[in-house]
Amino acid sequence: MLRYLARKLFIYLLTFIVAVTIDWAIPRFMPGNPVDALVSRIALMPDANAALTSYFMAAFNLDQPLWQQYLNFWWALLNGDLGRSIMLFPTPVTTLIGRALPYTLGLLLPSILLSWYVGNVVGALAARRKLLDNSVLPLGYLLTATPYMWLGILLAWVLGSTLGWFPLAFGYDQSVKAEWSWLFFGSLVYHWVLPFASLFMVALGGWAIGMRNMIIYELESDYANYLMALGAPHRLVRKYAFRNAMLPQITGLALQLGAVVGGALVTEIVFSYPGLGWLVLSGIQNQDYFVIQGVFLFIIVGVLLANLIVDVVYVIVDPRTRVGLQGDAA
Amino acid sequence: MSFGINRRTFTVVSAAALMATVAGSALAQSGEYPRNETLYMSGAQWGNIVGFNPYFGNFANGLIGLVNETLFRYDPIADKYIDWLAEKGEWESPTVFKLTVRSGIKWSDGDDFTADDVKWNIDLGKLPTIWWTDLYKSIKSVEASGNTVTVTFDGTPNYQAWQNALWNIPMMKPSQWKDHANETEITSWTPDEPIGTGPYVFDKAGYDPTTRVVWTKTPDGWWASKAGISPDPKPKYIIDLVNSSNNVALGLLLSGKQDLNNNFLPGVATLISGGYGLHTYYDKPPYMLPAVTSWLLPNTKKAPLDDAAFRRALAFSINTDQIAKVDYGNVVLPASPTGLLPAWDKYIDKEAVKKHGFSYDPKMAAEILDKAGYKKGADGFYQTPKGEPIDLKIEVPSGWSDWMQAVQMISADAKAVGIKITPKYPDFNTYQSQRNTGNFDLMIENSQPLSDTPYTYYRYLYQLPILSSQTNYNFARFEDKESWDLTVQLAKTPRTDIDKMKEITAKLQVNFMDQLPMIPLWYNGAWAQMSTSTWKNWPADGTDRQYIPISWRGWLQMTGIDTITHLEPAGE
Repeated sequence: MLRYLARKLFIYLLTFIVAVTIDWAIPRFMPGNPVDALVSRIALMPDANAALTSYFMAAFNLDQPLWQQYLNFWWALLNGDLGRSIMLFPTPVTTLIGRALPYTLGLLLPSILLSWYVGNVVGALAARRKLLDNSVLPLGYLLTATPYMWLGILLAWVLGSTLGWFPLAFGYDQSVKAEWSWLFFGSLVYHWVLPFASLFMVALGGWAIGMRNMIIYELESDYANYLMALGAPHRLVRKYAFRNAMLPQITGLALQLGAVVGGALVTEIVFSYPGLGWLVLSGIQNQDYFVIQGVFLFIIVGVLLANLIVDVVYVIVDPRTRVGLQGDAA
Repeated sequence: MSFGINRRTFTVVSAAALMATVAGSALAQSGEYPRNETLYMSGAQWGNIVGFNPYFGNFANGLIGLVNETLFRYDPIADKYIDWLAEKGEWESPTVFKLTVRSGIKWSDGDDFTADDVKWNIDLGKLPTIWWTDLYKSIKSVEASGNTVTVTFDGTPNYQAWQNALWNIPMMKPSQWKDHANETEITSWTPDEPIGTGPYVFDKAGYDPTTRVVWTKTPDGWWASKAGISPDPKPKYIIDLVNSSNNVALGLLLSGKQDLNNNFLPGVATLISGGYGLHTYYDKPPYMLPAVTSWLLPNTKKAPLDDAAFRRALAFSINTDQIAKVDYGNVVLPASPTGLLPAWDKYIDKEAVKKHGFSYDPKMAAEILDKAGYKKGADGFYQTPKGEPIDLKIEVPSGWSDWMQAVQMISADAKAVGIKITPKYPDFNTYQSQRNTGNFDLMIENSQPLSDTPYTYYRYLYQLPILSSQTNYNFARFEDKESWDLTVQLAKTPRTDIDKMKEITAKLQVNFMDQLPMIPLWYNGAWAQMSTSTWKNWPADGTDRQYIPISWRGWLQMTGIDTITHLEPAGE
């Protein structure tokens, strides 16, 4: 067990280093210079321009050679420092992420977990039930093939714009004070519904189809046939099939995380929802190296951690892995 | 046993009661800005709000005008200056300007607003990062005594720039800023809560840098309404919303959740006439007041754009009437060949325009090119007199849909004449950095807005010397010593000497139209869509409320603030 975890951890560490390096490099491939954009926002006389440009270049350590910037970046990172935002100078990037993170987590966690749970249940129910299957399967394919943002736009248009049932944008209503009141809380929930729904529905389709197919496969396997031949009740057979079918779905959850996070980013943009996606968009528009880096770093760490958790859960859920591991160790 | 259950029930009930009380009290102090007391505006703020430093570009909108006021204001429709924090300002001699500070004005922290405060703010000009630092270099001394401030210039002052600075320098509280009044912090530090003299103060509880800033009416009352100079503004709260996207803005406006929208909204012309309860300054086209000239910006360091004949041919080939009609649905007007805004009409030399101006005329464009030695190649496009192919790029920021359509039309017009121009759409930062460093062929540009003097336009067109990075002026990199000298001469003409100003600008206009360092296209509007559902008495042509309904930075101290102070609740 420990050796298994150690091996996994090593792989995660390696992935982390490579991902973070790419994360550091990509904003720097963008054409142009972020400090130019910053300085040109301050109406300046031409000669003052040069002075302020060099001040900011030094403040962001952008005047140093690239290898030095890279080393600085790692050093700061290990000290928990993500640098200061360029567009919102001098706000630290950690503050910005701290402000945006609750919104993104509030969308992601419920939509991932609920869609996975509901999808699996619906998929399992649909398998071998003609009527349900005929509706769940096409709907599932339709949903899973829908791009997140497109469904978001569709929902915003129909439920927000045309019917006017839900707000189109922002994390809470513009007229509400951000304080701990029921009004504020209600407004948060109200504004959360549409972006949550678009993430939830797209993911739901995929899980339902996956589960349905797995159950059908399991019900046709030898152990199911044997149980049936013994005269075991249908419910019991389905229960065993469900437990076996769960395993690939757990691996699937790990694989899907990245896509869902990406989907959440664009969904936030559709709804002007002030989470990490919204933050990274303005970071990209302003060439804010540090914000882009910081947000993606957070996403990298988040996805890796979630994968690690899934790995551990897998060991617990599937007794065969445990047996295999013990056998391996002995 | 049963007693135990009762006790538990009791605990649960009392806890619920407690929670209900807490919730009730939260509701009682109303966690909401009442709609009928709140003015929602939007249009200035893109991206996150960057604090409260008036010398940094993305400061919370409304800071200058609502909180930090200026010594004077300027009314561009009436072309007159308004005495504001200063009750008087005049030239005592050609080099000495004397300001009288109004008495009875208090900062929001209770201190008196004094002549010393004014001196401190003017003296900020000694920092090289302050925008009027060039002007400050020509100032010999700034002295405060009693309620007057005397500014003595070294030699002939730059009258025009000084006059312009007087209504643009925000008055900040020296005690709040003194530790940060250095070269770098003055453009990057931000106070948590700005102190000002204006009608509104910052509402910390409502601040959300990603979506809004909330301004609350100053609790002790505003000096201007106490002195009877201005009506007291009715909105108790002003909320400036961050722009997210055009469709979100449009949705909020049409549902009555925004009162003053200062964005260009594509297709707005149909909405205005479509019965959506939207108010505009004019009730017929162009609906909006002209705010800034949009120019076709050529890179005059590159062949063939370094040739005045080629630039003039280009000007003759573009059908700006068609752009105004098709692209903008007539919410803009085609620009005068001089590029000067309608507000400066009195300076325009109509005779010179007839003789030196241009209009849409493809035949004339071809004629000019033929005469200058340009010949068409086998592909039907003109080549340089040396026989090199001409293949120009025209760039506008990606997503600026009105400009994107305009450059497609320009490209088609040019093609009809035989000039090959291909549209390109880089992202805004790339566009801006290419413009500043001179790495482009053609662009559309409109960063120099309406002001109190055409001097700001000519400085924008002609400023010398050309540096490796041009950040504010002369993006065309056009070197014309004569015109720049004339511009400097204009600068040194007192703002009261209109005849002399006309004489100099007449010469500049002829130079301009012969050379066309930039090609005037159309006047972008002071985009203002106003909703009448919560507030009424918006500015309108033909009424006594001829104010500019604009909340953009730099416009509140024109007559934007008057727009706000004259509003009345729509319900009454």
